[in-house]
Amino acid sequence: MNTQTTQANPFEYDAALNLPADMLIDWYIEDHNFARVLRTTRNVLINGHRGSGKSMMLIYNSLRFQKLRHERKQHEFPPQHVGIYVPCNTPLTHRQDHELMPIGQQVTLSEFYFVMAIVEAIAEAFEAAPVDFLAEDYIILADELRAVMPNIVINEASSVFTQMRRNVKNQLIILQQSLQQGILTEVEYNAVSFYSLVTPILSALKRTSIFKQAHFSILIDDAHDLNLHQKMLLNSWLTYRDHSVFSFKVAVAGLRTHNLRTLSGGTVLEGHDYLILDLEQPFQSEESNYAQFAKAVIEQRLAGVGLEGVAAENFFPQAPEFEADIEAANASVAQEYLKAKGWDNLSDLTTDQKKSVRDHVYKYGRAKYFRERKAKSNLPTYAGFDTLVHLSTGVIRNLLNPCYQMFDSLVSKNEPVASGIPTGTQSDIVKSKSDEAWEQIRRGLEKVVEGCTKEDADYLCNLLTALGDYFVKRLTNHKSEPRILSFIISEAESENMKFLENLFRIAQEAQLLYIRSGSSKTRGRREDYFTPNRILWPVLGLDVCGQHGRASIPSRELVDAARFKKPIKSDVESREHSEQLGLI
Amino acid sequence: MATILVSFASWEPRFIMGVTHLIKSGGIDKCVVIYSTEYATRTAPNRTELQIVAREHNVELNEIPIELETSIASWKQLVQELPQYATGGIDVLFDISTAPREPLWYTLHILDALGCNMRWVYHHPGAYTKDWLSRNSQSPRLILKRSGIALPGKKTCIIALAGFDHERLAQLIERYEPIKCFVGRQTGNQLDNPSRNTGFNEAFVNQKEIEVFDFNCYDASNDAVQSLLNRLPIDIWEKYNVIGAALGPKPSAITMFKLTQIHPEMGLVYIPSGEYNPEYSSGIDLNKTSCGKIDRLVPLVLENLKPPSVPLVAHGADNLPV
Repeated sequence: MNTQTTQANPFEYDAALNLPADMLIDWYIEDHNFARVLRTTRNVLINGHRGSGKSMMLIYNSLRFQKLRHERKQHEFPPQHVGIYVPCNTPLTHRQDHELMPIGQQVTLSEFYFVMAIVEAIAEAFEAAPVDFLAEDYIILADELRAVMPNIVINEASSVFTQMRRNVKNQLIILQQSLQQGILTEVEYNAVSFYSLVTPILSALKRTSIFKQAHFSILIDDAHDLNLHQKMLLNSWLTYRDHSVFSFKVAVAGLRTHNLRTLSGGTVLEGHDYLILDLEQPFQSEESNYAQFAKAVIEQRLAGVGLEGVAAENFFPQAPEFEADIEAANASVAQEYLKAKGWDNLSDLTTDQKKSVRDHVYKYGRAKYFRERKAKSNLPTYAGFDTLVHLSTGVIRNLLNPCYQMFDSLVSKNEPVASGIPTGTQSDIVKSKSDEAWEQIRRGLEKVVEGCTKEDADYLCNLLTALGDYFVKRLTNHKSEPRILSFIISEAESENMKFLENLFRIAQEAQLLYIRSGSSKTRGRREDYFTPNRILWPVLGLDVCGQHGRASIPSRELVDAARFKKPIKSDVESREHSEQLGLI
Repeated sequence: MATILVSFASWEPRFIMGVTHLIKSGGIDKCVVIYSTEYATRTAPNRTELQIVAREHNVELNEIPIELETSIASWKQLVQELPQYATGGIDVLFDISTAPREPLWYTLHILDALGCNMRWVYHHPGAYTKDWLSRNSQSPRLILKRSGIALPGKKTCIIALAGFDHERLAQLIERYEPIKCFVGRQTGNQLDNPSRNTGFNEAFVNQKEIEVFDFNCYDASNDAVQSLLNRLPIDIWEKYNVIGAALGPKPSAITMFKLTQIHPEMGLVYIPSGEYNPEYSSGIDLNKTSCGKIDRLVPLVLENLKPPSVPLVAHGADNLPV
C-alpha cells in the first residue's frame, strides 16, 4: 500500500490509516466547515459511507499530523486543539473473550481494552509529536501517572509518555497471555475506567504550561466496530457535561442504525449530547458541495505529481464528439420548444421565457441524445470529469477508484500521463467497472456480503435489474423527469419495508446503494431517498449525470420486482422540481 | 495405548466412510463425535450408521452436540464435554475432514491444554460438487483462546492460506484493512483447483500490499510450517498485530494452529458460513489421506529460521501411519 511506483499514481485510494503521512497531508482538502465542526469543544458524531473520508479527516486532525502540518505548512504547533486519534478497527477491539464472563465482568474487561487503547493513543501521540514541555510540566505529568498507574516506573520525568505506552503494553500482554492459557477463563488485571485513568491524564496535560488553554479531542474512528458494551460506554461518556478539557469526535458508518444507548439505559440526544457532521449529504454547504470538493481532491493530487495548475476537467476531458452531440440535441430541443411556444427568436424573449427554455433544455436535451442513440449499437462514451463525479455517487473513494485504474492503465502501457487521460481509456475503464459491478451482483452477493443469503442475493439482483429497466424506460418515455436516478418509497407498508430494509442493508454494504436524507416536498419534513451506485448504469446506456428529483415507487412494486421479477411501472409520476438532491 | 478418535459429524459420505475406515483399521477404543445442532437432522443418517459400526467393533461412541452459531456456545459446550473423554497423556486421533475451522481449533486447543498426544487425519473426498460449496458468510470472528496478543498502535497484518475461495480472503481484507498480507496460494491440479482459483490472480497478485506465494495447503507437517515461517519477514511479529486465517484445504487449519503454538501473538480468525451445500462432496479418496501429529514447535524455531532440510512432499505430513 505504501510502495511508490516509478510513476506514482496520484489517485491512490487506500484506507487512510495505511496511506503514507506525506501523501495524506498533501492530499487532504481543508474544508472550512469541517474544520470548524472538528474544532468545536462539543462532542461530534461524524456519519459517512465507507470511503467518504471520515478516517482521513480524523487522522489529519491528530497530534502527529498537526506536527507534520506545522513542519510542512506552518500550521500552529503545539496546537490549542489537540487531536488524539483512536482507531477501533483493530484485533484488540474484535476480541470476544469477554463474552465468556458474567455480564458485569464483560463490561469491565471491555472498558479496560477501550481505555487502554485511548491511553496508548495519548502516549503514542506525544511520542510521535514531541512538545517542548518544561521540567515542571514533566513533573506534573509524572506525578499524575504515578497516581493513576500504580505499577508505572518513571525514572526520568521526560520519558513519561514512553513509560505510559510501555505500561499499557505490558498490562495488555499479561492480560491476553492469561486469556490464552488452559480451558478456564479467569484473568486478573487492574480494572480501570475512563474517569479513573483518561480524565486525570488529560487534566494533567491541561495543567502544563503548554496546554493551559488547550482542548483535547479524542478522535474515535470506526466506532461501529466497538463491541456492544464499548458502544454503550462511549455513549455514556458523551453525556459528560464538562467539556473544559476534552470532547469526543466519533466517526461512524451508518449512524441511522448505530446504538445510541448508554450503560444506564438512557439514550444520547442530538443537540444535547452531540452534534452531527453528516458526510452522507450531497451538499454540506454552498462552499463545500461535493462536486467542488471532488474537483479540489483531483487537482490537489495532480499537483502532488507535478501537474500543478492542471484542471480536473482538462485531465479527464469530455469526448468532443459526445459534447457536440449533446449540444446538437440541446439546440434541437430548444428549437422544438420555441416552435411549440410560438416564440421566434431566443434573444427576443423575456427573462422568464429564457429561463423556461433553459429548464426545458435541461430536462430534455441530454434525454433526447440518449433516447435517439438507442438505435446505435454501441454505448455512449463515458468520459469527462463531470461524468466521473456523477458516477461516484457522492463517495470520494468511488471517484478515485476508476481514476486510479485509468492512470495505471496508461502507465502500464508506457503511455504519457501528463496530457491527461484519453477519452477512450476513460470510457473503457468506466464500462469495465460497470460490467464488474453487475458481474459481482449476478455471481452472488452472498459470497461477499456478511449475512446475505443466496435468496437475498437473488432478490437484490432482481431488484437492481428492475430498477435499471425502470430508469431506462423513464429515459425513453417519461414526460417530466426522464433522467432521474434516485427514488423514494411511497405507500411504505410495514411488511414490505421490513423485506426491503434487509435488501437495502446488503446493497449498502456492497456499496451498490446509498441512502441519504433530504427535504421532502411536504414542507419541513425529511425523507430517505435511495440512489443506486451510478457505476451500474453505463452498461445500460443510461445518462449517469441524472437529473434533480426522485422517482416515487410504491413499496409493493419494489417487493414484487425483487421477489417475482415484475417490472416496476414506469408511469408513476415523479415529483416535479424537487429540491436539489442529486449530485449535480 | 488406547486411542480416542475425535471427529465432526457431516452428511458428506467421507465422514462415515473415513471414520469407519479408521475404526476398522483398529487401535481405536473410543470415538467422540461432535455434531452441530443446526445440522443435526442432515447428519442423523450418518451418525446412526456410525452407531452400528461402533457397536460392531466394540468401540464406545459418544456424541457432543454444539451450536455453531456463536463462538461462545460452541466453546462452552466443547470445554464442558471434551474433558470427560480426553485426559492428559492419552492418544487422540482427530479426524478433521469435515470439522468447521472454529470447533476444529477449539478442539485442538482443549486437547492441547489437557495434555493429550494429538495426531490428525484428513480424508479427501472423491470429488467436490461443481456447484457452490458454502455461502452466506458471516462476520469474521477471532478464535477464543487463540485471539493472539493485540496491541493498540500497531497496524494489522494478515497471513492467509487460501484455497479457491478467494472471495473470503477479499472479505477478510475488507474487514480488517491490513497494511500487509501474506497469502499462500494452493498449488496443484487436484480437485479442480485451477478452475476454482479463477479470479485469484486478478484479485490479489501484484497488489502492492499483498505478497502471494505458492503453498501446499494439504501439507501441515512441521517442515511445512517452517517453510511458511521462512516466507514471512521476521519483524512482522513485533511490528504488526498479526491475524492468521486458514481459508484453504482443511489441513491448512492445522498449519495455522501450529503457527500459533510458535507465535501466540498471532490471532486466528474464522469466517463462518451460513449455508453448506447438501451435495458438498461425494465419495472418499483414501489414497490421498493426509495425516500428521501436533506438537509444540518452539524448539524447531529457536533452533533456526532456515529453509526446511527436506523438500516438501504433497501429502507427506509427518510420515505417521494412521
